[in-house]
Amino acid sequence: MNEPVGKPQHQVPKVDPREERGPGLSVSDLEGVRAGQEEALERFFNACFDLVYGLAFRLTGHRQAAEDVTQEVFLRAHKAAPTLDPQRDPRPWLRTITANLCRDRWRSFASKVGRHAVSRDDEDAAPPLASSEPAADAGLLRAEKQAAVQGALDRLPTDLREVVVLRDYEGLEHTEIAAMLGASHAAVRKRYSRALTRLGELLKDEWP
Amino acid sequence: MSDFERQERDIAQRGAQDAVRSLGVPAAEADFRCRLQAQFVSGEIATESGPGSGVVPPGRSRFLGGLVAFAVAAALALAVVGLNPLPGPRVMGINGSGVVEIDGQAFSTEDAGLIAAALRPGSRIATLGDASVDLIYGGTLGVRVEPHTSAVLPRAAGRWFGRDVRSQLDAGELAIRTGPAFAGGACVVRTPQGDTTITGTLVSVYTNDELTCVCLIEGNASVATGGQDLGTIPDRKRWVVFSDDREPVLLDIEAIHEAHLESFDSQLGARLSAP
Repeated sequence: MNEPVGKPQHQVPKVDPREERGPGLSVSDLEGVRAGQEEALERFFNACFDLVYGLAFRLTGHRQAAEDVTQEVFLRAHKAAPTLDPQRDPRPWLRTITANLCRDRWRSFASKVGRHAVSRDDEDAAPPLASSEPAADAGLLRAEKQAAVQGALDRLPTDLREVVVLRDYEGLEHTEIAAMLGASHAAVRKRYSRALTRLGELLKDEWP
Repeated sequence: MSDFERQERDIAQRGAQDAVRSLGVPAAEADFRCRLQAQFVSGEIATESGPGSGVVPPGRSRFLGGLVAFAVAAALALAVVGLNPLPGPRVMGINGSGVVEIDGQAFSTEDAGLIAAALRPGSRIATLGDASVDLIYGGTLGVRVEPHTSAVLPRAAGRWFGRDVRSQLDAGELAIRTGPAFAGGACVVRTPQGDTTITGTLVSVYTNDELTCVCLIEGNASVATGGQDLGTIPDRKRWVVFSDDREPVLLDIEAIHEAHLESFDSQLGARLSAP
């Protein structure tokens, strides 16, 4: 109904031949972020939000905590924007800040209080996960299983949880995790193996 | 450790590995994502890092005094914030048949109850097939999400502050009628080609890969694109803004579209005026 103006006379290329820097981010986007351009900031946010929030949620197991961490990460990203290197993928940097902030929360008094207050019935602790599956039963089953896995992760000691989330949820290599955590490659491998063993035991309870 | 025990351990480890790898990306609250995005893009995030903003500076919580001050400030802020929002979107009708997606969850148009329950201020909505959805935001906004549309809905406008709301239209069409409680507010609809600012009107915004078309029946709405302010739209006219380098054009509304918008107004407008 709103197409009366005819075909465009000048076709605009759909995709610029630009070098990608992370999902949907180009060098020129990152230069725009440096310059504080709104459109570039919006693209940066959209490209990085799921990464930051997803990791924060998996590490903290709590929606409110994940939101607090996500907000702090984007605050830091905004402050650091003028010094951003457009030639480098910003995702490893964001991942490191997110993991560090989650670790700060675990160590903090407020986090301890918050974590003890969380129960499995708390809807903040295990929100229903969005699913595009139209079949309600399959979606429900999947959501229940995901909640069970998250529940088991929450019961892991924080150092073990961190390494298993970074390895299997984020898909990082042991060397990358070691660099992030400032630990040796061997220590990370050992911790990962212990984490899987413990998680396997916990999953038997959560999802027999 | 015996071979059997080692085997058992390996199986349990592989199960744990698969379980974590199967975890999807958790969906954040649409309202939180929208608010944070607006703060990040506008730079407001850097000026709102004090207590009550939801930002937790590292180390602050180690100090009991800081914690108490934060709790008191947060409680006060929550009280004010809790009372501030005007009503969010309520489903008034679902037309046609097809699928409506709310924040990534797909519903048949026959599941009106489920759609209504899933809808939140700031939700991402997509209409597939010939489905369309009519929404009312208390006395502030009436919105029709036309078929084949993908958009982020506005959040609820504030009673005392945060009167301005934003929506994002990625494809398709939103028809919008402002109501009596909207006075003093503004609704910005962002499309790939520009921003439409609505301050009191009956208007529709349509977008596709090539253009954005903003049709005004009556009232006040203005269009800005690429830093250029095209100004307010005269009644019964429409601005067409292109993705390529063509200049925007001001045209008359097509008669068939005018009738369509007036029909939308007659269906939702009266409910919007009702107390």
